[in-house]
Amino acid sequence: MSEKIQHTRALLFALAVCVVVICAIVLFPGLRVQAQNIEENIVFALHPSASLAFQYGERHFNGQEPSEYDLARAEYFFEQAAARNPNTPYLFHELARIAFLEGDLTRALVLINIQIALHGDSEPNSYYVRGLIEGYMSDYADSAVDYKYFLQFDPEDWAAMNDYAWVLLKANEAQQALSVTQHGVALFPKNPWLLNSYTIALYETGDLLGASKNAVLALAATREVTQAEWLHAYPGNDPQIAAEGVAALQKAAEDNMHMVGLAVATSTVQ
Amino acid sequence: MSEHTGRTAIVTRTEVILLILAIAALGVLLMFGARAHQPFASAEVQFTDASAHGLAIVPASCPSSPDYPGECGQQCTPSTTCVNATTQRNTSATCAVSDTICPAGWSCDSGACVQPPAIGFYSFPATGPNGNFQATGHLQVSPQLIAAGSTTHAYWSVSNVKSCTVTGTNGDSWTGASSGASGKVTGLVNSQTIYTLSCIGLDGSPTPSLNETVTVNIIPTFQEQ
Repeated sequence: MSEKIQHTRALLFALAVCVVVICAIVLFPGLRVQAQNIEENIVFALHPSASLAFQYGERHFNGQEPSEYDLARAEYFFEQAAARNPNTPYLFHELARIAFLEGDLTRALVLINIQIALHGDSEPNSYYVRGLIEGYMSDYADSAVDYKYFLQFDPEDWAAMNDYAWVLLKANEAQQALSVTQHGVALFPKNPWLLNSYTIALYETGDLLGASKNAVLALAATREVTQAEWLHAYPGNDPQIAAEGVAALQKAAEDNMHMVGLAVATSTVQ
Repeated sequence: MSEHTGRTAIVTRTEVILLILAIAALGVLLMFGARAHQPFASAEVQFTDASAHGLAIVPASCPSSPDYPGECGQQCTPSTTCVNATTQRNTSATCAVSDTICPAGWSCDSGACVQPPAIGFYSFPATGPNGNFQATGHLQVSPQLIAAGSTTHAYWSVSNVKSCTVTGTNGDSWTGASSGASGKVTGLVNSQTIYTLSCIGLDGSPTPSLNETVTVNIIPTFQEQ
């Protein structure tokens, strides 16, 4: 009889511990993430493979899922994948992006070059990433070459057109930037990034009235941008900075409109 | 007996120690969890860069992700659709998708969140002690002037409600959105009686509730002195 009581008590105790653990996991998101990480570690320890490591890395490198975004963990799994199968598609591409995010541009360039050497034209997005890295290394000429090359694979990519224009503007190639953004705005007439770059290209080529007219459209378009849309435009960014990013985009369009307006007023007075 | 009590006491102490250990482990896990949930605030590109003449250029980085094949070039017509009965989906010009849950009680129909309709009244052909008539749907009592100690009929027909009740100060009470064509026969009315229709609208309705009253009067009687 007493043994039966002991069993019942043990069962109730185990049940109470389970309830406490489940409640804690449900109530605390940090704990939930930690529980998922522990599960990932166990599954990966039992079935270590490059594809599983890459899958986990991608899970933690997704700006659309704020609770799972974790660069350090993403990098760890991508490195595990590299140790098991360096030929995994887009693997060095992702490692290069992480190095770029961490501000290590030299390492990012080495990694993206490995990616391009391994996969070349079969994974053309890597040319875009190399263009991005070179742009931030102030190597605008090489960056422009990579963006232009990438656009051959995806000629209607608004972000690539926008960033191609960015390096052209940085390299004082305003006329070429004008032609790129003009084409982009014709395809995406309400895209705030392209409208903003088009304004700058018009301004830099001396079309102040055109720039002024377009700056108004750019500002209106930036005011429509949601955080989800912004995160879509910056898939590697930390979701926590989305609001700040939207505000920066709107401020850029506002500042440009004022600067262009001032230039128009000055030229009219003269 | 004493041995049994001793064993129980030892087990109880063990249980307490185990419980404390479980809570401590949970605390440690929670601390690690909180630490793990502090992602490095990163930006794939700087927010803005300056052009040759000082204007603010804003680079993007959409095609950097291998998970977005072709999406950055995709041209979407901004649209709204319904994911399910209560969730609206907005697709932007750059093909970004965001879901919005409709306000409580509202439903999603043809891409728009639709508010439930306001409380309404249905006119209907009614039959009564004084013949047939067209009832308005609002609370009506017919006849409204009666002799003391007699009965009368109450009529109503209301739409888009969760519930309705009609009560009289003489103790009458009915529930339902409609009285039916022949109305509800009241109890005996001995003095002036007020009938009240009270309805609760659908969740999220522009008319959350409704009250209407009708007074039934007694025909005065005169006695010669």
